[in-house]
Amino acid sequence: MISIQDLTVSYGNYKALDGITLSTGKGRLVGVIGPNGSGKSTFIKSIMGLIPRDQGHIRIFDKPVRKVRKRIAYVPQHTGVDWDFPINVVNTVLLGTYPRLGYFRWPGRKEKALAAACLEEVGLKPYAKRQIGALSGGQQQRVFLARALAQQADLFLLDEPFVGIDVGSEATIIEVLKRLRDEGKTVLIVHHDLSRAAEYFDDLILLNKKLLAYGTAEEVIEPDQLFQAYESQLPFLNAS
Amino acid sequence: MTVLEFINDIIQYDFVRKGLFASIMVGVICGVLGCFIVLRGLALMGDAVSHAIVPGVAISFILSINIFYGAVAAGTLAALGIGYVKQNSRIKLDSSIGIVFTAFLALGVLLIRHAKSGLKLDNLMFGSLTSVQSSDMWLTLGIGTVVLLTLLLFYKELVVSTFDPIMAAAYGLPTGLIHYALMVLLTLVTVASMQTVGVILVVSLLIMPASTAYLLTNRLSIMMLLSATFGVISTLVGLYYSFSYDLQSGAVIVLAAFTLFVLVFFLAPGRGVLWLAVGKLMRSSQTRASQTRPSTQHAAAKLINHGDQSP
Repeated sequence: MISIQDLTVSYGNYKALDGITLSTGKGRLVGVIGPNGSGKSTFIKSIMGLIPRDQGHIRIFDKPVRKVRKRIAYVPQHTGVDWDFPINVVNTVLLGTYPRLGYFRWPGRKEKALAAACLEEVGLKPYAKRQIGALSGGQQQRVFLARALAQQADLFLLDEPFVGIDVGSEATIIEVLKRLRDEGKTVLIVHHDLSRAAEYFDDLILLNKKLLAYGTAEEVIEPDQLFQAYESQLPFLNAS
Repeated sequence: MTVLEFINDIIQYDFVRKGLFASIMVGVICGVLGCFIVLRGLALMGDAVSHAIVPGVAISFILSINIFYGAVAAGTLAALGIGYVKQNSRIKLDSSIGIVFTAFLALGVLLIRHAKSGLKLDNLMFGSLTSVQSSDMWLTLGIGTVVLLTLLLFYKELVVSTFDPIMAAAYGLPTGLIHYALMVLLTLVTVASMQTVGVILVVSLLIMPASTAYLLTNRLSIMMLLSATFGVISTLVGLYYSFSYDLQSGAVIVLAAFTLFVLVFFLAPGRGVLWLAVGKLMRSSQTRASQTRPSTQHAAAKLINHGDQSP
């Protein structure tokens, strides 16, 4: 699915990611964890080719990223969205069908039915006609998951989807992601909260600028591993 | 001149008809393109690019080529220049806009003086609907067709890149190219609007009808339709006053658009400022009523009890 060779990314003189090499399998739910500032978001953005990298090769489905963009659904942290935009919920989901439509083709009956189905899957059908800003944070996150579903992608990348949302939305989202995994899709999720990491994910990528560990969730959630990653942010551990 | 006489003039005189045609065309294209300018937060950028075409117009006259080429070249150069200054230094976007466009405009003012053409700086700056030529009309029609067709063909891509630029980039849309393409459309619209509103005030015809429409709807298609309608109403009012009272058409158009904006801003059903204030007032009087109700009930109960007690 994703194979990454020696990925290094810097912001000016600051090295955000240093020599990451790994490859993921098909049909896995993979969590990307690590302390704040460990380069988790940078990692996912550089997979999408949205930021320049110093060195390294990334191939997805055995091809360069720019050739397979339409097979990837990316749900960023939605700080870049204009919440006052004159668009309602179901038309936001419909945007997910645009990559496959390409230029000069308009969404028809098939696309609209798909958007409605995706909205229903995240439990937001009654909100279809609402303006996008008139939803709670959890509902907005579910709308963007529905839009990703409408992209009918093979690889899903989500950046901190559970930040600041309600418990019900979190449960719905993880349920949908597990179903995608069961259908053989690969799902990569940036996640900051360790407590549920083992419960949610099959595999974990533990980052702190370098790749510290990558394996099944049980293997990675080892105190030693976590200590190494979180050392700087848990000074009380040093004292013990 | 009454409106009826004016309509009679439209039927009778060719030059009034040309003015009418140009007004409607400009109202529509400014209204529609303006929606994207407003939603992308490019009002200041629109102002800059429209002013920056002036030296291009002057050079076109000096070289005796169609002003269209010079204007598009200057407008695009200014948009690229603004982006270049911002990306390659710590200077922020608004300053970068101020630096580039004033320099272009100043150069334009000097060049026009030396172009020694029949071109009047005043007409270029503030519009003159009474002097619309056949060639202007065809240019406006051509530009209008190109702009509206482009917006229609790339509607999907414009919506995605405006609403969620990260998603647009992630699925491979050339977001930078889309931005500069919009800037080119903006210079085209400015050229088309020169005769009607003039370059100084064209930005208001881009911003005001679209903003007025934005206050009224949550659907982009309706917003574009309303915006085009408000644009046309404004230009028609401008046309009427510039013919009847010999006023500068640009200034009248802007004030007409502003009047529409003010009306909607205060009176729009459900979200106008006045409407909201009345709603707030009613809610607070309702809570006051509900606060007083228990005591009224209490008094009523007392009365009833009193009645019961009395034999």
